[in-house]
Amino acid sequence: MSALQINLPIPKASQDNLGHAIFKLIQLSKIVDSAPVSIVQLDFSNTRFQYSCFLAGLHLLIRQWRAIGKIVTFTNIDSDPFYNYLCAIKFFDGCNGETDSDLDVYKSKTYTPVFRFSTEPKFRERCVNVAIDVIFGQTNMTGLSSSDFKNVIDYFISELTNNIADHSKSSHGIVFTQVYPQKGFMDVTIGDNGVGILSSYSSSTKFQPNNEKEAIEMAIQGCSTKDLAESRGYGLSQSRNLLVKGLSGIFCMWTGRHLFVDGGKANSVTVRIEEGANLNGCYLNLRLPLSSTLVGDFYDYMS
Amino acid sequence: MNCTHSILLTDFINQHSLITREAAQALIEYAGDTACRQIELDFTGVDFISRSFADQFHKEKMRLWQTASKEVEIVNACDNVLEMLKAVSKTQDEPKDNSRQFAYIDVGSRPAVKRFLLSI
Repeated sequence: MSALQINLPIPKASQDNLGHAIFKLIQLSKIVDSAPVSIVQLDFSNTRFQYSCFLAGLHLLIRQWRAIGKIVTFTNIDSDPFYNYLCAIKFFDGCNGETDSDLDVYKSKTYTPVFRFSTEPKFRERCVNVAIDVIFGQTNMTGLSSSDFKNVIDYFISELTNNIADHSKSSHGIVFTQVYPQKGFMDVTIGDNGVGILSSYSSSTKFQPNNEKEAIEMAIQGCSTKDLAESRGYGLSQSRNLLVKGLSGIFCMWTGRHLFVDGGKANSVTVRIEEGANLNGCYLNLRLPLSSTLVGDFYDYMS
Repeated sequence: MNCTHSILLTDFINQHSLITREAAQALIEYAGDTACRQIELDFTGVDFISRSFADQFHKEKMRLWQTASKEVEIVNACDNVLEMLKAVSKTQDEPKDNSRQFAYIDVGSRPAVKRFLLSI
């Protein structure tokens, strides 16, 4: 019997609206998860450009599909400038930052590679340092002092990658950023193919959410899954505060069958998405306006 | 023993940003492995510590004092490092407010999800 195959057209990137990219990812997830197929052919004939928030999510979905045995192939993409971009960002396999010696080239670009970091502490320390250096070297946020900008980027990347290592039960996570100078924002995407937020509470005796919605709200409010001191649980909650309240950015998280969005026109909204669409693990996209000024002092957001 | 053991952090961890909790644990474990009761950690070359690193560092430092009466002193730390350590020291026992309610949209239908997402 031949394997069942689906041809999945990748939709055009017609808007820079973050929700538009998320909506497309949800639709792709729903199609693949609800179809009894073993081969997924991603067809890029309709698209010559995609935003990084979409590509990072697609990278995670492809890994999710492959993890359950589906074969993912690519078509109508060769010999195209867009293909060159996908190769430059190392979309297909990710960049581990541990062995690649040519990361300096990214300092003159507007994007980083898709860093795929090991959650093992020694490698994570190195890879996250490299990612931070690349981002800091290529971006100019005009409204922030150099020191505040460095602190902000260091904080987001370090805390959110630490969260992946502490809670996701995944061997790797990803960090990917792209600056859009003409559009005036940068996207930082951090994600993993781990157990997701609800399952990460399974070993906690202090907080026991009844469902995914409650788990997300607990995580967002800083209820640590670790039954340790009060000083835990700041990574996600304070990153959101700093991004949304401090920098007027947009925070978007997708885990399982729920989204959480804060900032922009959404005010801390949890959304249950359609039946059939699902992301194992967690996807976070932080959108920072390049003209942001920091409201208050950076260290006010740490406590 | 009444002596001071000095450690340059960048000799121990060759990074200018210190990120992980594990790095803080390993650092204090390494620093505590001395007969001296005074330990001097020289932060020259370190320009950022994550909140997680700072929190774990604070805990490990207290533990070393309580279990082995060894005192860790920080020298040559930049303002960023000192500010982060100060910020986490304030949160060690302070309960967080977990009472906030969030808006919830139970859509479950494609048009409703699309409408919401395209509006943000």
